[in-house]
Amino acid sequence: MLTLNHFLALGAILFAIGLYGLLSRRNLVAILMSVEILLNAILVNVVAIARFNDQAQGDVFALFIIAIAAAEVAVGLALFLNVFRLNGVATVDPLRRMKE
Amino acid sequence: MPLVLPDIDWLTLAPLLVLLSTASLAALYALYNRSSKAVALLALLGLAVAAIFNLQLFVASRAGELRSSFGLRYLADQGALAFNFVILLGAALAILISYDYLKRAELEQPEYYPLMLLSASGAMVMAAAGDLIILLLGLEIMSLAVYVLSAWRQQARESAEAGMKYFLLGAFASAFLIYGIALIYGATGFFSYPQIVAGLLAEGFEQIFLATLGGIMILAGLGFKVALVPFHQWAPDVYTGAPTPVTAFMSVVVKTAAFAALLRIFAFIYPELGVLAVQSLVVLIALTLIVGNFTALVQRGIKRMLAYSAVAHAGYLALAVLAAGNLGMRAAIWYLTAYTLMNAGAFAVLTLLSDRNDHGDDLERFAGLARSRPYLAAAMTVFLLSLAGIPLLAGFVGKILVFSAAIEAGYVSLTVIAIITSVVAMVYYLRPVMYMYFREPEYEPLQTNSRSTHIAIGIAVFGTVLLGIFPGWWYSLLDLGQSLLAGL
Amino acid sequence: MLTFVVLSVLMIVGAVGVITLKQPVHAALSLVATLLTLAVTYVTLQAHFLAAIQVIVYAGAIMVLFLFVIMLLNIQGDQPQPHFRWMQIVAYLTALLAAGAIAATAFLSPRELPNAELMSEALAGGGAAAIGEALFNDFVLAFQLVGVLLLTGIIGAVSLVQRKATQTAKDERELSGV
Repeated sequence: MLTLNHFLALGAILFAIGLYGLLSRRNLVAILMSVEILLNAILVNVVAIARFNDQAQGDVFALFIIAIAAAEVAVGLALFLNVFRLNGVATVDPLRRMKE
Repeated sequence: MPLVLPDIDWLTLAPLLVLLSTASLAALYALYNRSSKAVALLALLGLAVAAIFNLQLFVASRAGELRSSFGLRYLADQGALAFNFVILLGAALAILISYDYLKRAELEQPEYYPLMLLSASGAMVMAAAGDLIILLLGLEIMSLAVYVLSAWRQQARESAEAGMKYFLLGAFASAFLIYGIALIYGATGFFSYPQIVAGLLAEGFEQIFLATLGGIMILAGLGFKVALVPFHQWAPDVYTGAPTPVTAFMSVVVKTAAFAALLRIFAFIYPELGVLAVQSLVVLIALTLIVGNFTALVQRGIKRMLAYSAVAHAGYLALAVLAAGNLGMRAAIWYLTAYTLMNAGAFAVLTLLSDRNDHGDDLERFAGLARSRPYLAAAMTVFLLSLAGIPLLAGFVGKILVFSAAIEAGYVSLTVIAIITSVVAMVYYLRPVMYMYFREPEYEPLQTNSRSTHIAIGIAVFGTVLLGIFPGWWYSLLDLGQSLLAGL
Repeated sequence: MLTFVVLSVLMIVGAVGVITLKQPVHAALSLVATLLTLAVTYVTLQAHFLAAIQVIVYAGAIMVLFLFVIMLLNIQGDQPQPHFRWMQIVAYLTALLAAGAIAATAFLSPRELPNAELMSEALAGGGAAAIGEALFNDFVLAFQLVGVLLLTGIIGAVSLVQRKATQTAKDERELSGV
């Protein structure tokens, strides 16, 4: 029997994968994609909850999350272009350097 | 379900709408006229008009009238309105500091001001939100604009990287916030605060674990925005890398908005979530107070020192959040008002001391400043002493209010930690003062002058001293004998 | 249940691909796979409207933006990657598995086409009409705020990128000695 918990577990696994990617990848574009995985992990949860509660509110929330993702990607890629033009590399290494 | 027109109270929305339309107008105007003077003036005008509407609402709410729009999703209670004043003040100070600074640094791009207004309107949405989705959207509007603003100095690596770093960690934090909201929705089936509370208190509610997990994740997401330890790692780099006026804006407006949101959900939802959610905030506060203050001790650059000091102040403010209730709310609003004035003031002084690339903010540059630029040194002394919490200045009163609210709420040991660390903090705040007054100058100080920045410093000094000597008037304005937050 | 298992395995494999593949283009395509599988999951949950949005906006527009930036800047992977023979085999196997999975979901959980009345009932919660009602009754303010959010994103992104253009033009003028 398929229950809500299955979907919540799937969401949690995806979220964990996204987190790992965000923390371990050095390539900035890959990090941005990991953020997308995080948001999609949440989307799985939200849509499943909405369907199991049979409420349209959750679907609307999912719609908003997609809109937020779109806006974030636009700004994130613009910032990335900025860094890439200055450094000529697409990795986080220059960002780490700031700590010193 | 038929389509019913939503209840829209235009007066409630007026301050927000004024800011948004000013931002759009300014962005459109900037397409045809690249002079940033007109756009900056327009932005200040917009902030002033929004403040007037806000004042009208504030008077109405003091008369006991509760206004809200969209069915309690956008609130204009006393708490939200008082926060709006602080946000508008912080944004106005940041714009005043920016104007000549941007000219000096050759960063004059009129889009700067609309972005700042959009960010401030996102902050106002957060303060007024009565619904988790509205809160999230306000936070995103505010943050996206600030990410861009912190990368504004495009030719400098520090700034571009500060923007990127802030964005990556910010996206990470908002993912946590969204996950938290999703879990709370999963547990209760609702997004708006009153419905969530009703869901949590309902008979036979068994999803408390899910809801508590959601609450902790929301705390992590908002804790990132206010830089609570261990979510503070971005703060020093971003504060240092971003253009100084943007740092000022970030440290006051973003913090105010995030605390406004945190106070509201802490007052409404957290009491129903059980002890775990509250305990996690206690741990965060203790860490923040200790790490923030002790790391600030060893910084040589003033901007970096102020960044860690901002982390430490987030700890004091979070004490007020812990004390939820009316007393904590009043203390938090008071503290944020004082903090906005003194912190924005300190950053304003920094813009006049560092060169056009934001370099030269190390301690040595401050040596002998009292002789070469006496007024600036005096203003900086006022701000630093106020941040340190010396009596007769605003910061001191703020600390007293927050500490007494926390003790009232029963967090005695945490307050003791706060008092001890604020004594430690005196060391790093007083060190620049010593340098300014008792050291021989090592460098020729820059003779940068700017009328608009001087106005901002003047307002900040006046406010800091006024609130310090006569703390009663603003505090009594916040007192109504009834709840500051609607429905509490 | 089987459908769910197959879809989640695909989704997880795709996500793992995003975080392990060295070449950004490969990672992006892997992400597309995850996003599309997610859209199929929405369909199994009867959220048809969202499934469409997921494909059009997410897997379509957002991913094109990613790929565009990757191609435009010719971003290389973390390190040069020798071409392994076994990688190809794994890739083929994955593709086969995916094709098999889709076939399995199609044949193993046959669902009879319901009549129109039942269909509209099934679409009740996740269909466009229900979402529209919720959107314009409960979430009008949020809907407006999303507009503001997108405006902020546009102004922010444009002012970041456009400034570079004016700056470059200025630099070139200076270089040519004008």
